[in-house]
Amino acid sequence: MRLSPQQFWRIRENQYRLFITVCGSCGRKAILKRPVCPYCGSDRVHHVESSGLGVLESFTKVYYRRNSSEDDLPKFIGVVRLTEGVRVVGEIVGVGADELREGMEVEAVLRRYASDDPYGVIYYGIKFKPV
Amino acid sequence: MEVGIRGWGAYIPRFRLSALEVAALWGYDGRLPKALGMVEKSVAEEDEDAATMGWYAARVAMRRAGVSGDDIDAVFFGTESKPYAVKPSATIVADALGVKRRKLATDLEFACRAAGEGMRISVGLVKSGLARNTLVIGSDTAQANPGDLLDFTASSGAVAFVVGPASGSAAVIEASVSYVTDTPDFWRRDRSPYPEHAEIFTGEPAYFHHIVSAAKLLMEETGLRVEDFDYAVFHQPNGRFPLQVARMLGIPQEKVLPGLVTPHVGNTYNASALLGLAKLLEEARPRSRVLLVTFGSGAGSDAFSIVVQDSAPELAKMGPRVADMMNSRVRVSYSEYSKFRGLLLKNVGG
Amino acid sequence: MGAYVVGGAALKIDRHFELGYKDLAYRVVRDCPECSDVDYVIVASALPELSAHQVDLGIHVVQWIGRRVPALRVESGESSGLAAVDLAASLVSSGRARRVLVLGVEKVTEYPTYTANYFYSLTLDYEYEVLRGISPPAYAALAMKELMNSGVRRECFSGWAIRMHENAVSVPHAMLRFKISLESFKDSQVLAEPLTLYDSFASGDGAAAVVVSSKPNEGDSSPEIVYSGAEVGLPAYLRDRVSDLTASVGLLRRAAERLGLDLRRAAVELHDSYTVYPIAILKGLGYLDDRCDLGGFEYLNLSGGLKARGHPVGATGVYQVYEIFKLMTDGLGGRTAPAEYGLAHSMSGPDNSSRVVVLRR
Ligand SMILES: [Zn+2]
Repeated sequence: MRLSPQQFWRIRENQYRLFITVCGSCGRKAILKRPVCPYCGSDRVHHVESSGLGVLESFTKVYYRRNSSEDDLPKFIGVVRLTEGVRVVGEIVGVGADELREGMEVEAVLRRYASDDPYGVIYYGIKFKPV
Repeated sequence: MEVGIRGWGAYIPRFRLSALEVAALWGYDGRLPKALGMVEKSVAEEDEDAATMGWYAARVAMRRAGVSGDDIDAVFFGTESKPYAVKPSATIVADALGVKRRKLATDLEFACRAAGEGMRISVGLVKSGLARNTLVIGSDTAQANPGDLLDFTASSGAVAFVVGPASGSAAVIEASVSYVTDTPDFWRRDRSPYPEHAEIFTGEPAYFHHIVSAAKLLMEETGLRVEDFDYAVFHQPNGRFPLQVARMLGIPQEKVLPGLVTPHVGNTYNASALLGLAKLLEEARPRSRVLLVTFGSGAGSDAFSIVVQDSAPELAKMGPRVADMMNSRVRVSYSEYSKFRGLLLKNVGG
Repeated sequence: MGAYVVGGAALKIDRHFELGYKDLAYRVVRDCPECSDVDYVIVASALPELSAHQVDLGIHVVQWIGRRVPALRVESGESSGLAAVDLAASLVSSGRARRVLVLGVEKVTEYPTYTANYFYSLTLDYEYEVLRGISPPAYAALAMKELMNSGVRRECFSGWAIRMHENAVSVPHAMLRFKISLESFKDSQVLAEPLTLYDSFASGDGAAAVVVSSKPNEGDSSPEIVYSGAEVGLPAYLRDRVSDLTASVGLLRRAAERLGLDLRRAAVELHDSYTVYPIAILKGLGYLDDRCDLGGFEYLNLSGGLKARGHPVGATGVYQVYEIFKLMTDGLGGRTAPAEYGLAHSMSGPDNSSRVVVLRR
C-alpha cells in the first residue's frame, strides 16, 4: 500500500468540502480550514463553508507525467476565484477539447484524487467543473 | 404521516459514446442500435465513480429540499458498481455532504433497483417517525463486457431524492408496492469484472413479468386505473423495453416518452427509472400523477404512485435540469471510453 | 568570527547510473584537497528517503568516506544546499566548528522520469497541492501566463534558456554543455501550457562540496560569507499572483541594500528551475525592461543555471556557492568574475522558501 488511509482520513474534511478560514485579526480569508491565519499568524479565526461556485481566472493544460498519472492526462489545473472572494487552485474536469475559457463559471465537484490500485484506498476530494 | 419527495437532483456525465461506433467496432449491423432504441450512452471520466456522481446528485437534491446535513437521518446508496466491494459508499458521500454522524447509512444492492427499494424503505422510516428526512441515491458506472450487447447501453449517471414529510414537498408518494422473485436473468459473480446475463431470458420472465406484476398490484391496492396516470416511467435497460411494457399495460407511448432518457443517456442502472422521474418532476404540470416502476435483475420491481405538487416547478429552477444535462454533451471515441472507464489492461501499483 | 569559503569541488551533473549517494559523495571529496581537514560535515540532500530508501544520510556518507566527524543532513527541498551553507557559516561563526565540509549530493535518476517528477513534486504540500494534481510545472505555467498577460513576451523566457545554455558550454561540471536556438523551442514538448521542456531545469545526479572555515587560507584571498538569509513565502495558491515571488525579491533587495551591492556588478546565481522564475524575480526587482535585455548584468548565472548546468535538487545550492567561489578565485572553466560580491539565490517550490548567500572577496 502506497497511500496511507489514516493520513487521508485525518484531512478528509478539507478534501471533501471547501472551507474558508476567516481571520478575526486582519480580516483576510484563505482557502482550507486552518488553525492559524496564513497572512498574519493570528489564531483568532473562524471557518465558513464555500458555496462551491466560482470563476475560472486562469488555467494551464498539463502534460507533466508523474507516477500513475497517465489516466488523467492531459489535465487542466486552474485558478478559481470563489464567490466568497477566495482563490483556490485545483483541477478542472468535465472539459471537452478547447472548451475552457478564462472567466467561465465553475462549480465544485467531488472526484477521485488518487487511488491505490488495485487493492488500496481511494482518495476523494474537491475539483471543479464548468457550470 | 404522508410522505413525499422534498428535493431531487441528477447527474449525467457530459461524455457520450455513439451506439453506431460500438456497433461498427464489434461487428454488429448498423441497424442494431435502432432496434435497441439506442443513440448514445453517457461515459463517466476516469476520476468519477458511483460515489462522486451520487454526491453531485445528492448535493442538488439537498439544495432543492432546503435541508442541511443536520436534517438527514438516513442515507441509502443504491448501486451495483460500488467503488469498494467491501466498504460503504454511503459514508463517503455523507461525510462529503456534511451529513451529521447520528444517522443510518448503507449501500443497497439489488442490480438496477436498489435505489427504488431505498425509496420504499424511506417511506417506511418517515411514516414511522424513525427519520425526518432521508437521502436516497441511485448511482452507477455500469460495466459491460466489451463487445457484449450491454456495451450499447451500460452507462454512468446518478440521481438522488430527499424523502420526508409530504407537506410542502415537490411530489407526494401516494402508494408503493414491491414484487420480488428469485429469477437469475443477470448477475455478476465475485471476482468477475463484468456482469453476465441470460439475454432473451432477461425479457419476458424477468423485466416484463416483474414490472407488469408490480404495476398491477399497485393499481389493485389503490384502485387507480391506467387512465389515472398522466405519465409512466419504467426501468430503462434500453430504448425499447419501456415502450413495450407500456403497451402491455395499455399505457399510450406519449405518457412514457417524456420520462424516457435511455436512448440518449444509456442505462444508468440504479439511476435509470429514477432519472426519468427526476425529469418529470422538472417538466410535468403540478397535480400530474406519475406511475413509476423500477426493475432490478434477480429480480424485483417497486411500483409507486407519485403526484407532482405545486412547488415542483420552482424547485426545478434551483439546480441543473435533467434535460439540460442530456443536451450538454461531448462525443468520445471508444478508445477514450476505454481509458475513462479503465477497460485497458495495465500494469498497476508502480 | 568570520566564515570563509576555502575550497570545494563539483562533479559533472549527469545520469550517474554507476554511482549512488555514497559513491557520489566520495568522488567529489576525493577531488577536493581542502575537504580532508574538516571537523564537521553537513550533507545537503532533498530526496534520499524517496529515491534511495535512506534516512540519516549524513552519517552514512561520513562512514563511507572514512571520516569520524560529526555529521548531519540538511533538507529544505530545492534550497537544501544553501540551507546547509547557512548552517555551516553559523557553526563556524559561533565557534562550534572550525572547518565544515558542506556536501551537496543528490540522486534523481534511480527511477523513471515520471517517478522522479513525483518526488520533485513533493517539494509542494503533499496533502493540499500534490494530491490535488498540482505540480511544479503547473505553477510555473500559471506564473508564465501571468507575466505574459502583463506584457512580458514569450521570447523573454526562451531568451533566458538560450543564455543559460551559452553560459554552460564552458562549465566543466554542467549537464547540458551545448547551445540552443529560439527555433528549438518550437519543437520542445509542452509540460504545462505555455511552459515547455526547454523552460525546465536539466535533471541529473550530482555532488558538490565547499569547505567553510573560520580562517581564510593562508596567503590567498578566500571569499568571506558576509550574508546568509532566508525568507518564507506564502503557498502559491494563497497569493494574488503565483508570479509574485515576494520572498525572493524581498530577500535579494534586503541583501543588496544591507551590503550596498549592485546585483548587476556581482557574480549572481539565480534559481531558475523554470525560466519564468528568474524573469519574475528580475521584474520584481525592477531590472526587466520591455526588451528583456539583461545585458546590464555582468556575471548573471555564468554557470548556466539550473536550466543548463542542471538541478540535482538538494545539492544545487552547494553547486552555486562552489561556482561563485571559483568565479571569484581561480576561475570556472576559464572564466572569472572580478566582482567584489558573489550572490547565490535558491528557492524551493515557487518561492515557498527563498535563501541567499553572499560572498565577498
Ligand atoms: Zn490574519
